Amino acid sequence: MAHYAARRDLIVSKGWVQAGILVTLFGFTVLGWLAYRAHTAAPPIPARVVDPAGNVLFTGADVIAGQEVFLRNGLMEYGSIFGHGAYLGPDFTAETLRREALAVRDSYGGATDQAQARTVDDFKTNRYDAATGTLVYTAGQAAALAEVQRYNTNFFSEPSTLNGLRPSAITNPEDLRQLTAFFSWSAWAAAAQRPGKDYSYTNNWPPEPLVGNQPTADNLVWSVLSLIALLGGIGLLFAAFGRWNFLGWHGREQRTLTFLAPGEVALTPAQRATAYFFLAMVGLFLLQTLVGGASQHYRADLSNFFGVDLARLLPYNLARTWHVQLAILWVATSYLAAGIFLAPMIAGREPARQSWLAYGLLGALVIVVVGSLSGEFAGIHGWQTPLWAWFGNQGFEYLDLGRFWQILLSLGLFAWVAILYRGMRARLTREHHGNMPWLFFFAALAIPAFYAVGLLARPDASFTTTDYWRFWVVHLWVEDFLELFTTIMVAYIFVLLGVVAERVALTVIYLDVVLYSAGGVIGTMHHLYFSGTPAEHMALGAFFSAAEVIPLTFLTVEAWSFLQLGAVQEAKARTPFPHRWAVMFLASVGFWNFLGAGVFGFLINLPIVSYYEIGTALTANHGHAAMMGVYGMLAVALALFCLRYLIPAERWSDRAAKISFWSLNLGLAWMCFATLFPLGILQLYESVSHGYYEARTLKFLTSDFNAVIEWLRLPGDAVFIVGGVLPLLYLCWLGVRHRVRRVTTEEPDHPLFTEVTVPAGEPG
Amino acid sequence: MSLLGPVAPATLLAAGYALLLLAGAVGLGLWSRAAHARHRAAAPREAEREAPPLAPWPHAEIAHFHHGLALMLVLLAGCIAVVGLARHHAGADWLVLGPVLLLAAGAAYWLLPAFLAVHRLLP
Repeated sequence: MAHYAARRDLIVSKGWVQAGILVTLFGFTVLGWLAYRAHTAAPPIPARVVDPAGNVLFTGADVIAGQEVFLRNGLMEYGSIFGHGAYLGPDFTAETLRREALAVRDSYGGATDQAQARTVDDFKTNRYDAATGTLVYTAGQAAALAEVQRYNTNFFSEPSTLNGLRPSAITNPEDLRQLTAFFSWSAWAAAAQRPGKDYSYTNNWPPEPLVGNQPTADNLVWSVLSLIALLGGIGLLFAAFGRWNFLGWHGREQRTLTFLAPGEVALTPAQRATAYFFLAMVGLFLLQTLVGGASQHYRADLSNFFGVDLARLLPYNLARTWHVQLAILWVATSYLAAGIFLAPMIAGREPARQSWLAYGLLGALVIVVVGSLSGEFAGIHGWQTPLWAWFGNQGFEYLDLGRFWQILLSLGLFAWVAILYRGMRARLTREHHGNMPWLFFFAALAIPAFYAVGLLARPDASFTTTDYWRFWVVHLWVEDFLELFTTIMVAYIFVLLGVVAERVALTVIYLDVVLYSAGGVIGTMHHLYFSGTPAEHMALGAFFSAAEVIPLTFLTVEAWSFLQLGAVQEAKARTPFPHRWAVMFLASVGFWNFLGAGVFGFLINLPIVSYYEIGTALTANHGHAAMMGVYGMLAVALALFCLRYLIPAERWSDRAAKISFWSLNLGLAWMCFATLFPLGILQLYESVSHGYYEARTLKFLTSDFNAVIEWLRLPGDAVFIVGGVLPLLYLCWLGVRHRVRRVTTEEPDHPLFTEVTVPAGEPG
Repeated sequence: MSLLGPVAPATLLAAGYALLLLAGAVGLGLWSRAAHARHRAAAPREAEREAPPLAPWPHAEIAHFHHGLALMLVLLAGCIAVVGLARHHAGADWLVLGPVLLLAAGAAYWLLPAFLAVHRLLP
């Protein structure tokens, strides 16, 4: 053996690396330009808004202060602004626009053609003077503002829990004045025409005939073009598979394997530490489903939780804040643990005291989780200090946690990457930067890097630019980089199991990078059709995100090939395949990728559908089926893979894994098909036929008929929680209680299998 | 109330959606049967002599899951029809939702034996 560590050559063609880099660079160059456009073309926040006599109605500082009132009271987890947020309360942009428009029309004499025309003119004419920073409201608009403020005062200071908020949620008159200023500014941006254009800053969203808001030409044309992109892309994908049959998974069919039984595989101290990560994961998962059940109950029966006035302790917005934060936290915990578990198998050894770092990371994670959830509780209950945005409730949907916790979480994720690097350093120095160990490291590094981008979303900045950066986390981070990291982890698991050759796995990873980056990076903009970004965000977002369905289809095909590999190995192996249920969970990832992300996602992806649909149950339908169906099931698959080695063979329960698999999948399917999908279709119908404002009112949501649909979800939720999460809790507890005792710091070349040479004539 | 009085709009919605779910369930059942048969044909012959025919894992498990999912959709369709009838039960509503219930029962009768047969064979 040579004394110097020569790097292993790249084991696939250089072309793959070049293609991956080029496509990614292209995506981020376009996204960078769109960031510039989001900042320069956002609706202006006027220095002052005045009535025709020059009296100041509110100032730009009031708008920003109102946005902060909105965020720190958790209202983005109750209703929405520009269509973004939660779905129980109204969309405050659409509601304010409707109330103001009705008041203005009344001031012109009511429902006559002439009054209607003057109302449209009041709202469509852009009276903002950039030179002086002054926006002039007409007399009608000024009077309407006062009326909206009276309405908001009554609504938010409601002394009971009638609306699902805590009693007397906002009573400070100054807060209410600023909150109304923020809503009124958003309604102004939604109706006033962009300079030089014949549509508003929000591409005419929301649909509101009273102010003449209807779909723009861009909206329709790019909807059609994105359909074409989808059809063309799928055609190209299948053509490519037919032409180059080396694409996709191919098994190592010539080999006969003996999988090392769990218990025979010695674990490193850091691998053993992950048992506690998985216990933490399932604890967070259980809490997430419980608060999810509570927030669903608000939709079925708003003011009465089986005889308890739940909103006094757990108002809807707090339940939903915890629900979406925990969705990220429990899934991320599983990915962190799986990364730590795989690192020594990839590296071949584990440095001393690596487990101390792993336990330290878990401790930090617990501090962030407890700290941020408590901060959100305190924030939404109104225990606000001047440091609310730092330690309390920052309030952006999915970035609800205080800034301090957000920074701590980013640092924790960077620390996790450092732990992985420390564990794999010896192996990394021997590998080409384009080979699997480095890709594993780079994909891990992207996780803290893109989560940290969320720090650019600031409660005191323009909502449009803030929302742009928020979706770098909600979309790019969750949908692209977490997915990439898990693809690499799953590929590595199959390589470690000896089922797939490294070269094949690497090819698939590069193909995934190219496909994700081609659609997913610019596709991030499909969240920003109507947030105040210019029309190009809608055009490019629609076109490129349609191409996102292509890798989703590819992943489904991939999942089937995985199964084929599993079948071949099951037939050939001399020992039972130990990961039946982990592989079944991966199979369900394929199913939900296609249904939840592909079908339900594309259902709401066209700008013309999103125009009427945004913020309705169809978004929740996609959210549940994609987030739990893909990331959740992946997290469970990874947990089961690791737990299989953490739990001694005689303690393992295939039955618990099986019950969990069936219950999570059927429970999720029931949630979607019993309630979210049909309700979403009814809501879309209501939105198109009667109005978007109407479709988002509590009156519509809690109507008799819809309440029955909401109640129909109960069996699915119950099966999901009791049959799905509790058996997982049992398995994770087994992992901690009976962790295997065999410890090593050196891993063999093939840690999870041995190859058997079959004598001629003997069946393999 | 006359037998052919007006049908409640909610009844029509419930019936339409329940039929859609039943169609999905039957489609899923047919598809998984075809896939199962294909893989069973590819399974080693000696295995067939020892045990009743079963496609190799995980195809049998997947087919089993698809049957289970189809049965869940049938159950949901049945629930929707029952809830619909509980809310509106004039003669005309029975005329619309009664056949839906019969169809759901038929679909369950068709899917259940295959589901149970595979259930017994799986380890």
